[in-house]
Amino acid sequence: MSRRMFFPAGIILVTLIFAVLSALSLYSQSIRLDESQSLWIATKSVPGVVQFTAENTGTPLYNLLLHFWVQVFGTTTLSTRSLSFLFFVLTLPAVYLFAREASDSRVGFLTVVLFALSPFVLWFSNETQMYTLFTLVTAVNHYYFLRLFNTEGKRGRLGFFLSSAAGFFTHYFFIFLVISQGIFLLIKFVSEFPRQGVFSFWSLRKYFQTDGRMVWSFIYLESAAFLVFLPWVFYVAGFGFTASLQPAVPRPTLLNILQTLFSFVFGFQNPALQALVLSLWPLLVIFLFFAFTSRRQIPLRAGTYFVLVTFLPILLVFAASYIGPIFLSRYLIFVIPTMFFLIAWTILNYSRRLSSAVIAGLLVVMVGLLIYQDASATTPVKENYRQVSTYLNTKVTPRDIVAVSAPFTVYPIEYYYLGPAKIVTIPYWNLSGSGPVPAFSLNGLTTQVAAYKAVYSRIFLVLSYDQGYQQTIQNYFDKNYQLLSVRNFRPGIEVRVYRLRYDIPLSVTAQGF
Amino acid sequence: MNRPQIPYQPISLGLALLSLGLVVFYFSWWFLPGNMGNLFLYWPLFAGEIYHAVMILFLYLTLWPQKPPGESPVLKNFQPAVDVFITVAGEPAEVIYATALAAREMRYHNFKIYLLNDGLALNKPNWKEAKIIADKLGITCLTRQTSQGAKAGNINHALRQTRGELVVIFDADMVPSRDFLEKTVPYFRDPQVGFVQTPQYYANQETNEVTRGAWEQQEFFFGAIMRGKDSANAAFICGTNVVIRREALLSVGGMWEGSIAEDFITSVFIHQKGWRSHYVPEVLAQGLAPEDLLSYFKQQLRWARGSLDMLFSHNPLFLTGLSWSQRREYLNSALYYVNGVVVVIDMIMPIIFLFTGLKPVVTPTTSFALFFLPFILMTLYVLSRSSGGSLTFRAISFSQASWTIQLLALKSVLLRQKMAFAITPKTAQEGNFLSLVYPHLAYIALVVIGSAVGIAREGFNPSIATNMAWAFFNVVIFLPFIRAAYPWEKLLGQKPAPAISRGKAAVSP
Repeated sequence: MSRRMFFPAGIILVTLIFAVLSALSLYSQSIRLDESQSLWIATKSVPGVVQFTAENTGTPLYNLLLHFWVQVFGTTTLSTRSLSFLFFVLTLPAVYLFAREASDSRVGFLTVVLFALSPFVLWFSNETQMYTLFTLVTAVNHYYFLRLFNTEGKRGRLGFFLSSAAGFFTHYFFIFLVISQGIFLLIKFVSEFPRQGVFSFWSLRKYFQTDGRMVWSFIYLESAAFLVFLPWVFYVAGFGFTASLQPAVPRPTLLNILQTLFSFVFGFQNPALQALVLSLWPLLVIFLFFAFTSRRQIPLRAGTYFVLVTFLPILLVFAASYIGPIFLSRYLIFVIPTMFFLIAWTILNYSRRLSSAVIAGLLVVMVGLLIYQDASATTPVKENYRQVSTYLNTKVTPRDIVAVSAPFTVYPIEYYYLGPAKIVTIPYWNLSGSGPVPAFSLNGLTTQVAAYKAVYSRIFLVLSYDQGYQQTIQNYFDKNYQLLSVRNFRPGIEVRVYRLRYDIPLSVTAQGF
Repeated sequence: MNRPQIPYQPISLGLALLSLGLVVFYFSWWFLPGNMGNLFLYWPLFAGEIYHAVMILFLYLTLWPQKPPGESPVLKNFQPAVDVFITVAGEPAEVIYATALAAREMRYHNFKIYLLNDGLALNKPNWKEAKIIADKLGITCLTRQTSQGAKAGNINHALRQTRGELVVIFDADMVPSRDFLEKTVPYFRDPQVGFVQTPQYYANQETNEVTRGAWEQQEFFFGAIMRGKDSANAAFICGTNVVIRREALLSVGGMWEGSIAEDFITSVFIHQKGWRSHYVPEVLAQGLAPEDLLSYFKQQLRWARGSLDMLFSHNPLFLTGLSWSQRREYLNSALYYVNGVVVVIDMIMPIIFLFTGLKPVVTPTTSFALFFLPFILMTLYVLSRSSGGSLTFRAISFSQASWTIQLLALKSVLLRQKMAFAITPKTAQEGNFLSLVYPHLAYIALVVIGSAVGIAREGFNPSIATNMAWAFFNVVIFLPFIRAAYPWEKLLGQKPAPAISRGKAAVSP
């Protein structure tokens, strides 16, 4: 290996070692809510996967891939999470390729290193969800977009079409990337088209055959990709766009944008640590000053593209959240590769000494926070459903019943649950059937619990992911039944045990509600 | 002589509007309810931000729209008589010689060169050298007996003894290129043109930190700013490398002797009379930057004092005969030197918090960051882009760290203290000038002590962290200026960079 290659190869190697170590530490963690839902869907037949995905307003590509993956490798957390890790590893060369296409090898390597050490990315590289697949297809899509752009729409058309189609089938938020790319090309159009003279069909045609060939390629390739995806949209619409598996998402504030960007670089940290690090933001202003005073021309085109595809989706999702709450940092994971490209490009434009110091400092902080995220019990996204199930396994008897609310949290509990008591959800939801979670009502709860009271002596109420009625449920039980014990698990999972009746039922014959 | 280029890039309307939108977005934060903390801290801070907003608005109005570069006019048969004035006030002989020699080599048929020698009047020991050089080169030396009116008086003295239709002014170190007159005189075909200014380029900019900092500040001014002022017919005389129509100069009574910024105020008067001006953005003369911090300090103090003089004595807002864009441009230039007050406000706020816990604003600074970061990002981008990528951290540091100079100038204006015209030395002064940065070093000490006090009082919480970060930001901004005050390389046993001083390397008489 030449000396020129030794250094970057070494960095990549160290990065991958960190990634693997991080993965190993994460594999040991409990399955999380989202993962259990994916796994539950993936274990259905192919038509079942498609139907359940559509019923929950999801996109099918990842679930289908996971379906075939578990057929081969089984449903242990290690095997199912490995698929995401595989996508993560495949994303690294894709990130390098688009970063090199936009800039050079140095920027490409640093982008890959930062991306691969991002505690946020590594978290999702070990989660049985579509997020690393989403970063993979967007990274590939950026590469082909830049190829198209750099060759005036001549090269990379097939790759762009396929990656766009895959993007649509991976996550609906891919549309925000398409919009951002479209706005970038609209700017190009507005700045170039007036040179063609008066607006007419012929001048437009001439533009699309000359300077605007890339714009035209984008329009027809993206349209074609969307047309391929359109049947899925109609199929989902047939189910009425109900999302039973989705937790309620709060309406975001502007602060959430900053917190999202923070988590992309520094991962999921406890609120106190996050607030402390965020409050050091004036240091970022210094780095902005360094970035814009390095006596280099900032390439407007490339700069505009990467700023648009990184920040515009965040702003669009934020704005869209005021129509329907959809702002979740993990949905925006697809902007991370380009965000790290901007960071890498900026740092490498500093003077050599400053650049080395900043890279070293940033990597130390990122690795430190990565380790802290993996090791700390206060990491907010850790979900210890395994511990909940283990607790239930040891405590419940056939004369007890376990009631889980919110209903969709039954998946991760069931994944580990081996106890003899029956598990139901509040409000009652038939998991083996189809259809969304029914709406909650106090009357429904009263009727439901009255039926259990006839059969079971205790109820183990597992409360997490408040959907707006958790307090009502708790108040109802507190008022009407004797509270025997309360046990808390992270994050915010509570198991409350109530006595339903004092006499022991003669037989446990009821088959549920 | 290789002709250096001054980088520059126009900004589009879209970029200007986007930037202005972000300025408005940022300022909307200041009007959100519930932000106000301690009133005695809030209002000065808010006033400082208003100043920033006004200056940025002025900047955008300067940068956009700018007139597209047209074809430079050519001389053809236009050959008005030109008197070339080289002002001398005891500069080294080799410096004067190089300038006079280059002036004599200019391609033009109808011009005379005069050394305007104030050396005798200023009791300079080498005052006779100017006469010797003049004799050697066959040019005229006009030696004054008294230094009344300083440089302006020297020029006015020469005006009375010469007859050329146009007057060119060069400082003693400004070596003109052969085509200086070819590039500038044709503009005077238009009888409304009063003066044509060219950049003040520093050939010795790579000598040390001071020369680099001084030039990098000039670079933006003579790149984007003067082009913008030119579009508004508000380019002003910068004291050297300028061609002035005698009639225009006489119409305002010659160079204004009532201020040490004679060039700046004379320009206003000429514009008031309806004369037009032009800025030729080509380096047509190369001079010497101040080579030590003391010389830089004196130069900046003179400019600051002169500009503030205008603000208080000849405020362009109230002068008749100027267009609104000319008023705006002059006001912009004069207001630049009020920046020192704002820098002081901004730098003491975190210190006050660290020592006392008093806050100007009470909302979490992270919400402020959301409004501030896009604004500062776009402002820096526009600055960088319009400077053609030539903006440097050192230039910003020199501008911000000059708050001591600007406060001194403001004090002298408010107290009506008299300030003598001091020529910027053309050679490096010996010694170190740490005393010039004592206030900055004291600030660093306050930051360290204040941080310890703040942490002892509250622990390392988000408020302490943010204020420490802001204080650290100020320290980082001051560092290049502090570095320029002392030969740290010697202290560390390193060899300083070799000096490239054109003045010393030039042909000796």
